[in-house]
Amino acid sequence: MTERLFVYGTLMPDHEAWSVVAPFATATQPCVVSGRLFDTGAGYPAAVFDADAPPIRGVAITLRAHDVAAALASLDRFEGPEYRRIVVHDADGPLFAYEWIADRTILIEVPSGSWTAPS
Amino acid sequence: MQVHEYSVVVPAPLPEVWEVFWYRGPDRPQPRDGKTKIHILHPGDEVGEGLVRHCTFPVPRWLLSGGIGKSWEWLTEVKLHDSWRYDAIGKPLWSRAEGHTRLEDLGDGTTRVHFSEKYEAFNPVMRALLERRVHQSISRDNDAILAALSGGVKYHRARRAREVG
Repeated sequence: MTERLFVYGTLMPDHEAWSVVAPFATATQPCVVSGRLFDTGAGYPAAVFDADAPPIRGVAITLRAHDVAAALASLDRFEGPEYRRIVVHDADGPLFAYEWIADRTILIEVPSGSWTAPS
Repeated sequence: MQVHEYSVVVPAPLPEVWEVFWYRGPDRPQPRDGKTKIHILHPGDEVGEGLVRHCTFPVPRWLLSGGIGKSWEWLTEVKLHDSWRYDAIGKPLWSRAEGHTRLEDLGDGTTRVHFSEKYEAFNPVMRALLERRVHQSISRDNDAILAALSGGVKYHRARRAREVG
């Protein structure tokens, strides 16, 4: 099981919800994963992953090995029913990530693929 | 941003009051209102530094969340028998809180508990419309907090008596 997590919105370091994942993190580094990034209009983004899509720019978080299960349990609750946890890949291998599975008609695509630099 | 500071005096020595906040055993009591639940997701180190907990609690029904709010809390800067900090993310309202709790030994077998909290909704529109109302609704009055802490002290005295007996 991978110990890495891809985050692309409010869970990134220094963003609103960083304190949800920070207790379990040992390292962070910039990361890109292919997919489409959207603005939900509610203050947080959504991602739909697709190997043929342009890059979503985010952060790979390395989780403490003995806390991976606790971290994922916490994040599953945090993300709620609008997202599902899947495994995606970057150049360094697999990572957990949360993908939007709720209604897409309310979403506005972020062409840059970056939540920190949307335009 | 909402700022809330208050204190209560609990009729119990400081170590007993500390235990009410920090006892992490599986028999840790849940709040009695039946709606508030606290689930420890990570216990932190030996003093609780790094503890992570998930809380569900009542919120106004007009927030359209079924009357249930959720928070993810991370406790740090833990000084045994003294104080700690918490950082919390809440839904709904999509918000964050940062707070400190400090225990003061009053020297007569009682303990003053100092709470301070800053609360902020992320969305500027929601902040203007709802932040104050939501924070007021989830910040319980001093009597309720004192009753909860006093109840916790009684629970742990009974628990220890059972363990000894």
